[in-house]
Amino acid sequence: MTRSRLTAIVRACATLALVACQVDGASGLLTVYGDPLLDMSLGPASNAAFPSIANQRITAAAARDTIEFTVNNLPPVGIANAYQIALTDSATGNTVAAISRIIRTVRSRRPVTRDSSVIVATVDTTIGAQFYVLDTATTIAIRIAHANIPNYTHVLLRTGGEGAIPFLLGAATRTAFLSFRYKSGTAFAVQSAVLGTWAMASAGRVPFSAAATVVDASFWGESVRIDLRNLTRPPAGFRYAVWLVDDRTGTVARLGGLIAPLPNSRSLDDADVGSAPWYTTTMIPEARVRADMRALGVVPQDFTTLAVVIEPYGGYAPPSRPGTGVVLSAAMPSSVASRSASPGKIVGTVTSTSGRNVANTTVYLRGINMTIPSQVTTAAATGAWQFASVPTGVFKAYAIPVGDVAPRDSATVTVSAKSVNGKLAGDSVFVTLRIP
Amino acid sequence: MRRLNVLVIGLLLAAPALGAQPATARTAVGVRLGELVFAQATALKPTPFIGLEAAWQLPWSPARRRADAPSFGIGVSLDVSRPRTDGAQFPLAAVDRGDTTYLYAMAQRVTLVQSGVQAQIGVPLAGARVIGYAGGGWYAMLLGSRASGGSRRLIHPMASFGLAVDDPLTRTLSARVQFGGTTYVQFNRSALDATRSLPEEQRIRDAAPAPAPAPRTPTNLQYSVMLRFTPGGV
Repeated sequence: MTRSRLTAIVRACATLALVACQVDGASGLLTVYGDPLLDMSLGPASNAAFPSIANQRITAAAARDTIEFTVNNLPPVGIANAYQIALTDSATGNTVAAISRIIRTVRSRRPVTRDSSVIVATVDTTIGAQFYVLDTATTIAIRIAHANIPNYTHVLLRTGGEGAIPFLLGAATRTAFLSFRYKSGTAFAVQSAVLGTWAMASAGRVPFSAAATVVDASFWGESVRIDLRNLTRPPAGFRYAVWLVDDRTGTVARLGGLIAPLPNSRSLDDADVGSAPWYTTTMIPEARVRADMRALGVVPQDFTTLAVVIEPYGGYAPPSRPGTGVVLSAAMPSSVASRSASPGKIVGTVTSTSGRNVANTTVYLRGINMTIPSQVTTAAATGAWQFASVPTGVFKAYAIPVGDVAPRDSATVTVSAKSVNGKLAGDSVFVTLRIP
Repeated sequence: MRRLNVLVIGLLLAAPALGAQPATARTAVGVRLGELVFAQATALKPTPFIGLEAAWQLPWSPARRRADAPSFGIGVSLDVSRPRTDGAQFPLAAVDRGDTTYLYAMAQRVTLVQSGVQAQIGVPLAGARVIGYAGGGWYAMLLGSRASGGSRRLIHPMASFGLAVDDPLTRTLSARVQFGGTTYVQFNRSALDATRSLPEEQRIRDAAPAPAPAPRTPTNLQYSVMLRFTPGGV
C-alpha cells in the first residue's frame, strides 16, 4: 500500500469524524415537550351562592310545636339522593326525622315584551322528612309541626349520602350541613343558621368557608390539572367537584372530584367527615384535580366556565347539574375559547296556524338547559325575526303573541358548526313558529 | 471545538509519517471509528466517535518473534465524540407566553474525550488475532457554555475493557473490530442538566416520566472498526 493511499484513507476517516462531531443549530437542542399548558385564572366566584337558611322562627305559643324556615341555594341532588330534615338534642344526642310540610318553589324567567321579563314560579307541596332539589333556582319553605319540638334543641339538614337519620348521635359524631339552634336551656330563641358540619360538641363543628389557594390551574392537552391548597373541609354530606359550564346554553359536564396529593391519588370525596393523613381537623391542606377530557367525552371549547363547587354526595349518581355553591371559578383560557366556532344565526318567521304572518310577536331564545332567556327580539310586520349572533349549541325559541304573557309555541333549534375556509363557523338555521 | 477538530485532524494526518520508523520497531498506530452507547441513566444519547491508538506489541518470548505467536502489548488511546444529552431525563424548562406555558426538554451537546492506557493480550486464531484488553484512564466532558452558563470541564477516572479481532489486510495494515465497555467513575448526571439557566417546570412533574436512577459508575458500551498501521510489517 502506498503512502498516498494511506493518506487518503486517513483523510476520509477525518472527514467522517468531522461529520460525526456536528454542531447543533441555534434551536436544535430544544425539544417541545407535549402540549403547552393553557393557564386559567381560577379564583373566587362573584356570583356564588351557598346553601342558607332564612326566616327561621318558632311558634310563640306555649306548645312551641311549629318551626318554620326557608332554605335557599340548595344544589341539585343525584338520583335517589335527598335532603333530610332532623331535630336533635345537643345534650343527649337524641335525634328524630322531622316530618314537615315542604313547599318547593322553582323560579324561571320569560320576557313578555322585548324590554321586560316575568318571573314564573312553579310551586308544589309535599309532606315528609326529606325532599329533593333538581334545579338551582329552587327555594324550599319548610314547616315542622311536631309536638316534641321542645324536647330538642337544633334543626339539622342532612343529605342522604350520610345514610339514614340516626336515633342517637355520638358526642363526636359529625353530621349535617346546615343547622340552627332554637332552644337554649329552657329558653326558645332561634339563632342564625350555620353552613358547615355540625357536632354535639362545639369543638367538633367545622363552619364552611369558600376559600382556597390555587397553586396551578391549567389545561394540558386533553387533561385538566388543578392543584389547590388550604381548602376548608366541605360540610357533612358534601364534597368538592369540578364542572365545566356553558353559560350560553346551560350545558354542563362534570370533570370529577378532588384527589389526594402525590404520591397518593386517592379520592377526597370523604373530606367532609373522613379521617386520613391528608386532612386536618378543619382543612384539606393539599388537593389535586386531574381529569381526562377525552375519556369523559368533553370538548373544552364548548364551555365558557370551569367551576369548583360543593355538591351533595349520595344516591346512584352525581347530580346532573352543579349548584350555585361555587368555591372557585375561571373563564376558559382564551387559547381554548378561540378554538370554538364563530357564532351562527337563527332566522325565522311567526305565522298563524292558517299561515298568515303575525307581527310584533315577542320571540325569545333560551339555552336548552337555561332558565333565563339569552336573547329577545320582536317580529317585524312580516312576521320575520332573527338572532344574528348565536353560539353553537342547542336552544329553544319561544313566541309570545302581543298582549299575551305566556309562550304559545316553541321550537328546539340546533346551531351546528361547519367548516368555512378551514375555520369553524356556526350554521344559519331557519325556524317557523306558529301561533294558534 | 474548532481547536479540537484541528488537533484531531493534525494527529490523523501525522500518522502516515510513522511509516518512516525502523522496521524492527513493533509499534502500531491505528485510527478507529465507532459508536458509543451510553448507559441510559447517563442521560447521554448514543454517538459516533473517532479515536487514535498507539500500541507497542511484545511477543511472549523474544525467541518467538513470529506473527502467529501470542503477544502482549501496551496501548494508549484517545477517543473524541460529541454526544448529546437526553433532555427528557432532566427537569423540563417552562416558558410563559400570556396564558400559555410552553414546556421544553433541554439538551446540550457535550465534547467527550476518553483517554487511557490498556494492557492487550493477543492470541492467533485462524490467521487473525483475538485480543483482550483492559485498562484505565480518564474521561473529560466539556460542557456547552450556552447551556451551563460558562465553559465547564469535568474530568474523572474511567476503566475500559473489551475484546477485539485483528485481521491483517496487508503486511503493514490490519483491520480491527473492537467491542468493549467503559466504566465511568464519579459520574455526575446532574452536571449535564442544561435546564439550569431557564425557569424550571414545576407543574406537571407527576405526569412526566421519572428519569432512571442516576448511578455514580455507569458502564457504557462501545464498538468500533480500526485501521491499524504497523511500520515495517508484522
